[in-house]
Amino acid sequence: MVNFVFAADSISSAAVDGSCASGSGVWDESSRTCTLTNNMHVTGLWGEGLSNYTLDCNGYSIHGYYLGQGDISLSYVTNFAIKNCQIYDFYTGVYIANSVNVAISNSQFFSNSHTGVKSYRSTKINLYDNNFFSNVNQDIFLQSSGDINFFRNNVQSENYSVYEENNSNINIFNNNFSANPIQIYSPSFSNIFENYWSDYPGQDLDGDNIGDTLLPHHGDNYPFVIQNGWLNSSPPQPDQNFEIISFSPEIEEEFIGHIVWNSETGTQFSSVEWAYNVPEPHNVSDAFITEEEQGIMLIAPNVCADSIYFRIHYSDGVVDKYSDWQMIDMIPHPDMGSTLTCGTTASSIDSYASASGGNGKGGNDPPLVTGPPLIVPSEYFTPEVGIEVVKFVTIGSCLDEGWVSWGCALDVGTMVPVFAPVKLAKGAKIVKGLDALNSSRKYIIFTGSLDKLAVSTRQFKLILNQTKYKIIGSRIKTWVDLGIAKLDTTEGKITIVFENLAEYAVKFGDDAIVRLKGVGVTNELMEVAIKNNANLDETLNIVKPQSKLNVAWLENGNSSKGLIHIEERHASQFLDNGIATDDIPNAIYNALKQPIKIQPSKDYRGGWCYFKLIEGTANYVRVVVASNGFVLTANPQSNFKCGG
Amino acid sequence: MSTFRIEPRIRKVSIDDDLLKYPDVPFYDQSIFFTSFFGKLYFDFDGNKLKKLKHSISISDDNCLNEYLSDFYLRLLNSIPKVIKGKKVEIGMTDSGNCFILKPENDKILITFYYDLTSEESNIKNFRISLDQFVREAVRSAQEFVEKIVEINPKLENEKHISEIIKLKEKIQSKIKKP
Repeated sequence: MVNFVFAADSISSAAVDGSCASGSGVWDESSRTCTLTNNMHVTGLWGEGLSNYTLDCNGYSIHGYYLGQGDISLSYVTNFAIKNCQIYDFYTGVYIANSVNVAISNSQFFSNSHTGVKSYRSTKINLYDNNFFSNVNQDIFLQSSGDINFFRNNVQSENYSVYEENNSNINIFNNNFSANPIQIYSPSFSNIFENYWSDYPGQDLDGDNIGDTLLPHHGDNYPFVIQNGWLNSSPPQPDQNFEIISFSPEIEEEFIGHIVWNSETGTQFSSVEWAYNVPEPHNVSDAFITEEEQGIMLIAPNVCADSIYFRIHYSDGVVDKYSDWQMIDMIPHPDMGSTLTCGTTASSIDSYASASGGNGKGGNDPPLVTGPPLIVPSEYFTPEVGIEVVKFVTIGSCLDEGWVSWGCALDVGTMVPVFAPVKLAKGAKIVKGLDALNSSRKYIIFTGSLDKLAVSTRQFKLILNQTKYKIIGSRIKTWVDLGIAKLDTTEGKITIVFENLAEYAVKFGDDAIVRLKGVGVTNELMEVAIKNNANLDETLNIVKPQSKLNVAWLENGNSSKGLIHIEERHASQFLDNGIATDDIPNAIYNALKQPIKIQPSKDYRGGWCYFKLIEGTANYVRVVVASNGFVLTANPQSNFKCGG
Repeated sequence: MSTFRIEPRIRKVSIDDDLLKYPDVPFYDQSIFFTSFFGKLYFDFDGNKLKKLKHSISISDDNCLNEYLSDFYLRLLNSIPKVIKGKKVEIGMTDSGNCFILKPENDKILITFYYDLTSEESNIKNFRISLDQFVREAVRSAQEFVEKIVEINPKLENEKHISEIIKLKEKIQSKIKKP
């Protein structure tokens, strides 16, 4: 039996640069892709040192000859992609070691005797849209690796689903983890979010399909309660226009933490020129990276470009150099159909278009550079500054507090290209850079449509009364309808008009607000009542008393206060004076709004008694209101006594 | 010597009662929390107890006066320095237009029950006891109220109404002890 080897054997007949072996598949030199035409029954495959190589199984399988032995070994590979494969009956399905930029997608890994996919000492690993099941020890084993994105996978293991140790920057999101004995082992504090976990015992309280209780679950603060819940979230809206409601640098830092800002040195500078679609002079823009204007550029997918083009401009004060144009494909979001593309996903890593080289000058029909890498060659660097295209995944559905609230038109798992000056040193001036990031809103082009928010599940961060809250995007629509918030589509700005009301809505929902507005209560009255500790959910009505108090409200209360108390304790007295129980609330409101006399409470806690003339044996209805406006009690009375 | 007792009767406290939750009470506001001390007062006047004559709701079927107890004790204790000085004092009720009128008569005090509505009237209109007896019973009863409340939730000792009652009570006690 032949051992298939990428580099020197069956698939590859062309040694280390790879190709397809005769009979195993079809080799396309332009895309450097081997597309299988048969199932492969092999003892193993070995790729060492390959770069810019795609293995497309085209639905065919690669499976072990000796059951449970061997693997597909990728060692020291760069820019390597495997897709559309069924890989089974090996010891380890795919073993990635000492490699950079490997993407495995749309494949199935099962019945491997140890591990589905293992990454060891490798970086920039993207595993997505795969199915893992019945792999004996674990489906995924990540060890001493970094910059790993694991998303949109279905995972059903016999033991560990994901086992990782000693890694850095792992993002695990939008996966279905089902019926795994051990869902995840992650001592490296991965970024785990928006996954479905079959063992999640919590509840979704607000109907957004994201759990709200018993959090975090396996480190996931936003667990979906249904499989593929992220697919039900709204696609990117091409016509949203949103301002940063708030901004959280620490979250941003976490997200793009390896970006280090630097400044212009003398007359030297590097800048990025970028464009949407096929660049033409009018839509080519640039941003100079200087000390004063450290212009990080984020290309928002919301403009729905089919692709993004960029190149680097370097000047040493004498000579200007331009890199070739590079293109990043914008992969359609699943919900957007094929005609509207508003995001570039991780799959774009292995899907750069190939074309002829660039013309080296700016602005005129720039041709495309062939293939990766994204890092621009060093000749375009200033001495201490490089420019790198950094791609990072949105937290999705705007669930992340900081950065998504800034440009919250990005969707689940969207990869966003960010152009940033970069230096190998880490840390340092990130916050300053983030300020620039914040100000770079001008590069995000949205058009406004409030209605689109009504179906959005994206979340926005709000700071209300010095406390941070998150709300889903559709609530913004409700709030605008209720007059709690205003949306300025010209400025792209949300303004919270009634802060207390908004905070109440975040905490307790909108139902009470809608109900009270239905009985004529204004937002202004609700705002004051909430400030005074009103429980709107228990409140029947809010009125503005004639004087002394700005607001008074009647709550259901209990046997000691409010309407329940009044009905239990004083209904018979009201009835004696011709006021039926059902009419008591109106009698109270009338007394508050049109009193014949208002007496101060003689208690130190303050408050007032409002008296209204009635026809009966008692002369008045007395309404006792606490100093905050809460209607404590009410009773027919013949005098003007008010306690004390 | 006449017998005179005021017994505070705390309402039944449910498991989610604000008295138990204090100070972690949802929508807490000091100006309304006193309502949690709604309860009953049982009066014994020489073996006689309050009885409703009509369909009074101020007086319960078990012969007690319904009222916000912290309010009552604050007013009761605040009245003592005044009646000791010989001043007539009115102790109003929060939950009705009723009141007690305390009228010092040398070393005695006349307690008059004023009922705002005729339907609220009881069998007892006036009662006369020694001033010293009145003061001592007021302080004792306030102490009993505080103890019962703190037994429900020790943290209530710091609640503003309760702490004020404790302070007033101790102040009066210190004066009583003086020769």
